[in-house]
Amino acid sequence: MSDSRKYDVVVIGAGLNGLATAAYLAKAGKSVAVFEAADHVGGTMATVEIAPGFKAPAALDTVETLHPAVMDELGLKSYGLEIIEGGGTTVLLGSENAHQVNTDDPSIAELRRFTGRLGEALEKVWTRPLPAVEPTGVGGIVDLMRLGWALRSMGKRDFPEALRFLPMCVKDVMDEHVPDEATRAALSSSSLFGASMGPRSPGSAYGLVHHQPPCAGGVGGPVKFARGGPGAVTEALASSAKAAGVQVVLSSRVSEVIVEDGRAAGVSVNGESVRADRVVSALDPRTTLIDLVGPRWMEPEFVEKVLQVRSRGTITILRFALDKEPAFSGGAATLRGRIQIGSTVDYIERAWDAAKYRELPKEPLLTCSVPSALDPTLAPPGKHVMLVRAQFTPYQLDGTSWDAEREAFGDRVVHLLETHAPGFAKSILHSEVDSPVDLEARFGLSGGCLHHADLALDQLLHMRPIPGWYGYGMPVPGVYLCGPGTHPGGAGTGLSGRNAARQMLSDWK
Amino acid sequence: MKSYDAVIIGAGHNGLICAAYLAKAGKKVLVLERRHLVGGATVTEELYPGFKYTVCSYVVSLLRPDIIEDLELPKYGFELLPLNGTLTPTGDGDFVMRWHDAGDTRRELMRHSPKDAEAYERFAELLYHLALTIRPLLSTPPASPTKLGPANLKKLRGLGKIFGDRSDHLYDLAKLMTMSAAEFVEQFFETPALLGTLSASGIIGTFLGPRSPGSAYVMLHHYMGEIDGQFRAWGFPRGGMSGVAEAIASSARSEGAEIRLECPVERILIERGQAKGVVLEGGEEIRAKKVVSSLDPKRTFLKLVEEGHLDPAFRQSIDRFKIRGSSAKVNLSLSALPEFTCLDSIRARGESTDPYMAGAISISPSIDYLERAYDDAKYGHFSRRPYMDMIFPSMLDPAMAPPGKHVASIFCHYAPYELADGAHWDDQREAFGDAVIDTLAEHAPNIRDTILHRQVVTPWDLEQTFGLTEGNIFHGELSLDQLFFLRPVPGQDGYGTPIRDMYMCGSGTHPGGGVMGAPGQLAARAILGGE
Repeated sequence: MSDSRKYDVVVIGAGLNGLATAAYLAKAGKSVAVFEAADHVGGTMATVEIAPGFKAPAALDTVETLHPAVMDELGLKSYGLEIIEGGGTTVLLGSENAHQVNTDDPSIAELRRFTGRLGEALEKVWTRPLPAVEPTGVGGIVDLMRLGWALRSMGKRDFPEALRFLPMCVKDVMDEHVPDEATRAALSSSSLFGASMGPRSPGSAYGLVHHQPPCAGGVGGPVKFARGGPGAVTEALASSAKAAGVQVVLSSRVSEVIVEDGRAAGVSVNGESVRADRVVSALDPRTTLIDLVGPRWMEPEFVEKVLQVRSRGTITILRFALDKEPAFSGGAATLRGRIQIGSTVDYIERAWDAAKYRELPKEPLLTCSVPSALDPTLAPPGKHVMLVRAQFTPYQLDGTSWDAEREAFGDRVVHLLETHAPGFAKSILHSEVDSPVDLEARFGLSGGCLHHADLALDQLLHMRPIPGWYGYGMPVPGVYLCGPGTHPGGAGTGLSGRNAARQMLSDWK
Repeated sequence: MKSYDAVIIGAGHNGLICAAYLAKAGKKVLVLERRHLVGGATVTEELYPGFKYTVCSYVVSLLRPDIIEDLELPKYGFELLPLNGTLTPTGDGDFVMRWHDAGDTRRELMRHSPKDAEAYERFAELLYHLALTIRPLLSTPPASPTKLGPANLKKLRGLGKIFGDRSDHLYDLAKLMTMSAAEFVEQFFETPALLGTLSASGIIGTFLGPRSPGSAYVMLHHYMGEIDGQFRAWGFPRGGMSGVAEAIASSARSEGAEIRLECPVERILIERGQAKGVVLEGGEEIRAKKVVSSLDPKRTFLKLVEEGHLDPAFRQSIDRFKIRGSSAKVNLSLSALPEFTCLDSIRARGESTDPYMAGAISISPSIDYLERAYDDAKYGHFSRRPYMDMIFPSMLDPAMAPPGKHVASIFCHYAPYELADGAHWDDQREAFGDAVIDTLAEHAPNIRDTILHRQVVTPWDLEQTFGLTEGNIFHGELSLDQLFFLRPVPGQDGYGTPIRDMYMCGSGTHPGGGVMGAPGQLAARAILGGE
């Protein structure tokens, strides 16, 4: 690496979206280098060895939302990715009972039908850059009409219903459709993954479709694992990218995006400069634009808008190495899917209440997975790894700090797990607790937000990442974003990276 | 048997406005009112000798200026007395006062935060422009992106032009439509009491907290009246809210409209899918070419229309219409004005506190305070420490109380219609009244000694006495899923209904609630245009 080396594109960050952008660009014939601060690829979609022989997910544990287009177009299966079908969600009702959400349940049939149609219409919106709303020429109008037709194709009754549905809160949707309380809790929780909202917050219904689109099995559908852990996805992606000619450079932290004559000219990595006319960042909008590019290259009004992007992490991730299989009520079958502690909508709402006042909930919502139950390669024989997401835990705490609270909160989670799986506490060989503050430090996520920017109504579509700047290109020419902070955002689809590459190629002069 | 061109169910302000417009167009109109007086929730009642209560609604700002002009309301006695501003006790002995006058407000805010004083001008300007942008929507029936008829396409093109001309505000508007009131105002200000009071207008009449997305629009909805020039702020009608209703009724009568009181309608007469008139309780039948309901959608379709006349899918949509009551009123007769301790510094300077008291007094010391009040309600309890918006009508119109004495009108959030654990409002009414007075006493300790009479109007009472389903003052929540072409229900926006010759003209239709009158006016237009 030296001053003499010049690429068409430099990508910052070798997570799912950064690698996807790189692979698509390289396949289109561009010379591409990806710089990754960590010594492995994957970002939040990586596998980490938490104790000798125990491999746990870094943050994202299941892979059902990975979009089929990304998987197929980049040939991930031919680079070693193997998908394991898991089970559905089990809601624990104390140490004795459990309720399994079943997609054949007739009481959720209408909800699955409707969200399925909505998801199919939205997929047409998610899988391409957004059409301009400030119609500039015929192309823009055609794109806008295509978007309108995508939704209109839902039909006379479902289309108006879809427009009503999108700003609703998930609790109201549950009230209208789902009689069983545990199922209501399971679906509410799935819609609130990584959200800074509660079940009664308008806009939360959108999460149902966003996190469980039809191509991932739909609302209430089963999870999927990658053999070898979620890192297998990004490792296959890295192999695909390399085969297309991408240089993936690890342990190389980008400290600055170099701007010359008001446009991108490259990056500084480990004290050296690497030249490129285009720099695309898979990091969140704030880190990229404020820390790496620097406010001096942008209008103050734009900088203010970047600073107003809300990225409020609410998830604490706990990774466990276990001496034996956890004995959840519901039995071994529950270990095939997702396990939830938090059996009513109000339980989830109360867990959110505390976070609103920058406090930790006494009874957090827990969603757990035990990937080693389906993939024995992840742990020594008879032993297991488990990932737990605890919500809602605010990044900022009033009157205390995460350093002071981390251990006690971890104990609270273990205690809660123990009441639902007797013997759990004793079976722990190793544990890690990553609060939103830790997730920020470890993965470079502003605010510890896994979605890079809250998935809220005012931060979607043409408002994502910044109102009016939905086209991946930023005000500094040659600077692009490709992370989940951009449209369509969030949670392991790879679509932001795919769309960004497509936009860059269409902008190419 | 007499026959009418139109019979209107309910003599609330929207029913009366609709009647007045129809009568002005030469139609023979009859308005039927269940109670003994006109006004609906826009009334003044003397419930304690000499003391007149604005029982439900209590201030006016949203009433459309063109309605005031068209119906010549000032000629019929309508007069608006402006409120001085809004006083918010901070809870630690100080206060934040937003005055009618922008310069005075700026000086006051400088005392708390120079940053906020400066931001206030930007904030007011932005809201002004956004309100201007959205105002045309209030005076036209909603355009729906789901319909492709030529009339609707024309409306959509008109909308496109409105927004196209103001594209600089397009994203600000999109944000305002989708954000929470708290997050919206936090972009501008830092003073907790100012943040609390501003975001409080985002929760009025709605079962949302200040941090619930969508509440910023409700804030704009309440700001809308302030741009009309006639009266740039909230005002109190002389004679109380009946001053508004009586003026509209007189205007309607002068055009030939008939108003019958104490005439409850039992059902709407429907033959072969067409409305033919109404049947009163007691059996009297009144025939009319058009039937117009100013009641809320649930009451209209689930109580007045027999089930067999409605498509089950439409009935389900009406069932799903959200109309959760969340507010209550406490009205007081007072022997004297209570002394707010936050005004001690004014008294110490020997100044009169009257200018501070002759407006709204808002108990909203911070966003968290309001949000905690909401948390109580989410789980089916009234707020232990509620948000309150209080005025002393007798300070604006001395005729509201005997000389030297006062009435207070206190609007309170949250009081959920449905209480947890099977509790009933009949058993909780006075406990809620006590919570309101206890909270007020934290700010004005002598208030208890001044109370001569207290009326507590819970959501249950709003439903039983005023016919507001679940006690919702807006005839349905002003949430994004129930606004514009989605109001009242998707696929049936505007003022017509699936039943031929039957219309709606109440707050459950676009553009929604408040003493605005637009639904009544637009419904009349739709009825006249549809002939």
